[in-house]
Amino acid sequence: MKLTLPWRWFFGVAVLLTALLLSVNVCLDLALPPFLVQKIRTGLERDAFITRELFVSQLSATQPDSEEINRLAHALAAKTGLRITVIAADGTVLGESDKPATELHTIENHLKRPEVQQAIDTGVGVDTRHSATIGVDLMYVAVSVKKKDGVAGFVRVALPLHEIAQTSSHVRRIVAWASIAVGCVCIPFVFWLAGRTSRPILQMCRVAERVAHGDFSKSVSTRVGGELGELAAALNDMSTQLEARLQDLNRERSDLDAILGNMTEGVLVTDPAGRIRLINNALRRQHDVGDEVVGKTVIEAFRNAELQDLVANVARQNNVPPQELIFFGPAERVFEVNAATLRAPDGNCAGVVLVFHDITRLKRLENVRKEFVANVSHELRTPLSVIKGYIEALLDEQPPTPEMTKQFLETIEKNSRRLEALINDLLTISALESQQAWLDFKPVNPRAAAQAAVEELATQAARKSITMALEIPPEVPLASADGERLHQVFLNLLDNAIKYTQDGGQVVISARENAGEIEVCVADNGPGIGAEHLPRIFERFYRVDKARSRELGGTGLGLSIVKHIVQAHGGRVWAESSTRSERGEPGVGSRFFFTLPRA
Amino acid sequence: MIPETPRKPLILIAEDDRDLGRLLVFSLQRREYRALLATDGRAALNAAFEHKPDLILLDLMMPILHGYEVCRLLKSSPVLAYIPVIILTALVTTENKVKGFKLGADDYLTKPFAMPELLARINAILSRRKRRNAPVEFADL
Repeated sequence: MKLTLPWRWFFGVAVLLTALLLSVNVCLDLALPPFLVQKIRTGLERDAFITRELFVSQLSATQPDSEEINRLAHALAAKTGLRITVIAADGTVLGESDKPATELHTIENHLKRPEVQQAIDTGVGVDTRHSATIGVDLMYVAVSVKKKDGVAGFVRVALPLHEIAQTSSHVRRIVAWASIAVGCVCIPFVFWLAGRTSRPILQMCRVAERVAHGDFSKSVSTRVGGELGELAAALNDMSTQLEARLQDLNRERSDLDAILGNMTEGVLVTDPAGRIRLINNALRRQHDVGDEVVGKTVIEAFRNAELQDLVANVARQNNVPPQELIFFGPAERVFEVNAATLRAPDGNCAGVVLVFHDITRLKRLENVRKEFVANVSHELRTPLSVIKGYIEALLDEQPPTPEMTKQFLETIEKNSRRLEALINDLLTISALESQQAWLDFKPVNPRAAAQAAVEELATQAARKSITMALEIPPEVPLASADGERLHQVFLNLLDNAIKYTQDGGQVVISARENAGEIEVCVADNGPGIGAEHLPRIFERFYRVDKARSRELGGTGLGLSIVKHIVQAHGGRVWAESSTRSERGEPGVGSRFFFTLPRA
Repeated sequence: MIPETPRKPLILIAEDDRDLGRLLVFSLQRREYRALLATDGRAALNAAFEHKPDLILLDLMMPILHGYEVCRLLKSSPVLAYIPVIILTALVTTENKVKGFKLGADDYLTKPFAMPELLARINAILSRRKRRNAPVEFADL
C-alpha cells in the first residue's frame, strides 16, 4: 500500500492517540488511586467523627452497654454501608458491624491496631490493611472518644478499598471508550483533512507534469487557502511565465530560421568537436548538400583541406580574416568565407560559425577586368615601345641610312595612328560602358545610315575590288536610334567585312522588319569564322588571328563597340558563319546581325 | 640570320609585333650580335631547339604559345635550360614580374624600354656567362 499522505497522517494520529491514551492511563493509574484514597480518607474521617457522636454517650458511661453499642453499630452500618467498630479504652471491641452479635466476644483486642494507637496519640488514626476477615483492602479511621482524664474509647469506621480499583477501572474504561469515539470521529476527519491537503498537491503535480511536457492549458485551482494556495498561485504564475518565455523563444527561433533560411549567404555552424551542427538553405544550394552532412566533420562533408584548416585556426585564434576558398566540383567556384568562434558563457569554444559568400561571379568579373587592363596596357605600350625604339635608333650616334630613315619614320607614323585608333576606341568603349554616353534617340532611316557608311569606306573597298551592295527594301520602317552611333556600327561592321574578305569579294547589307524590330545583316563571302570563335568575337580584344588583325590595323575593340551600342539601343547582336573546313566548300563568309527598335 | 663568324653571340628574339621585331633585329645586329626573329611561341621554341642561341629575348603576349609557357618549357628542358632568358613585355605588374622570375627568367624588362638599357643588360648577362665559363686564374693577392 502506497504510503500516501492520508495514510501517513493516519498513522501519525494513531500513534499520537495511542501515546495519549497510554499516558492518560498511566497518569490516571498514578494519580487517581492516591486521589481517591485521599478522598475516601477524608470522607471516612468525616464519617468517623459523625459516627463518634453517636457513641459518645455510650462510651462515656461507666459501664458501656456492649449489646446496645453493637446493635447501634449494625444499624448504622446497614444504613451507611460502613464497617463500624466501637472499641473500649482498653481495646476490647464493644461493637462490630461486620460480625454478628454472637461472635462479638471472639473478636480479638484491637488496642494494638495502628489506627487505634495513632488515635491514642493524636485523636485520629488511619491505616490501610488487608483484612483477613473479609479478604479486601480496608481503610480504617479511628477516632478517640475523650473523657475527662483520658480516653473513653474509640470509634472506628472502615471502608473496603475495592471501590478505588472499581472507580479506577471505570474511569479507565470511560477514557478508553471516549478515546475510541474520538478516534472514530478523528480518523475520517484525518483522512478528509489529509485529502484536502494532498489533493491540491497532486493536482499541482499533474499540472507541473503537463507544463514540463509543454502543455500550458491547465492551471491549478487556487481555492485552497494558506500556503498551498500560495503555492498554487506561484505555480500558475510560473506556468504563465514559462509559456510566455517559450513563446518568445519560439518567436526568436522562427525569426532566426527565417533569416537563415532566406539569406543568400551560406551559413554553417559546427560544435566544439568540429562536427557540423547546422546549415541553412543557402548553403545547401551553394554546395548541393542536404541534411546528411549534419554530424560529419567539415572535411568529411566538403573534402576541402583549406576549409578544415580554417575551422581549426579560428577555433584557436578566435578571429581570422576572411579567406577566399576554391571549391572544385562540376563547376569551379570561389567563396569568400568568414569564420568566427562561438563562445559559451564559460568562455570555452562552443563551436565555429562559417559564412559563405559566393564570389565566383565577382572573381570572374575581376579576372575579366584584370585581363582587360593587361590587354589595354599591352596594346598601348607596344606601339609606344615601337615609336620610342625607332626614334632612339634615329637619334643614335650611328644614324641609319636615308632609306632606313624613311622606313623608320613610316613605321613611327603607322604606330602613332595605331595608338590614336586604340585610344579613340578605348574612350568610346569606356563611355559606353560607364553609361555616360548620351544616346540621342531619333527616327533614323536604316537605309540612309548604311548608305553613308558605304560611301565613307568606298575607297578602301575599291582598293580590294570588293563590291558593297545595299538590299534594304523601302518598306522597312524607321528605327529609333542615335544616328552617330548607328553610323559607327555600320562603319565597324563594314570595315571588318572589307578587311577580312579576299580581293574581289562581296559585302551585302540587308535589313527587314521582324516582330516589331528592325533586323540588319552585314554579310560577306570571305573565309568565315570558325565555330569555336563565334561566341567570343564580340569580347574586347578577342582576335581570331592576332597578328593579321594588327597588320590590318585593327584595335581589337571594333565588335565590342558594336555590341555595346546595339545593346544600349535595346537590341541584340550576333554572328553566323561557316568556314571552308566545315562546309567542305569555299568559305561562305560571315553574317553579322543586329536589331534595333522601331521608331 | 646573317652568317657571321661563329663567335658572335646569337640572340633569339621572340616577338609577335613585326615592327618591334625588326627594330630589335636591326639594333642587335648593329651591336655585333647575330639575331633571329620568331613571331609566335611555338616558332620561338623550335628555333631555340634548332639554333641553341646564346640568349633569348622573350615577349609574353604571343599567339599560339604564351611567353610564360615558352619560358617554363625552356627552363625545364635539360637541353635548353642553360640559355639565359630576358623577358621583354608590356605586362608590367608586380604579379607578372614575380611570375616571370618564378618561371626561371634571368631578367624582366618592361615596354616601352630604352634600347641602350636593353643592350646593356644583354651585354651584362653574356659577359657573366663568359666569365663563369672561363678557366680560373691563380694570382698572388
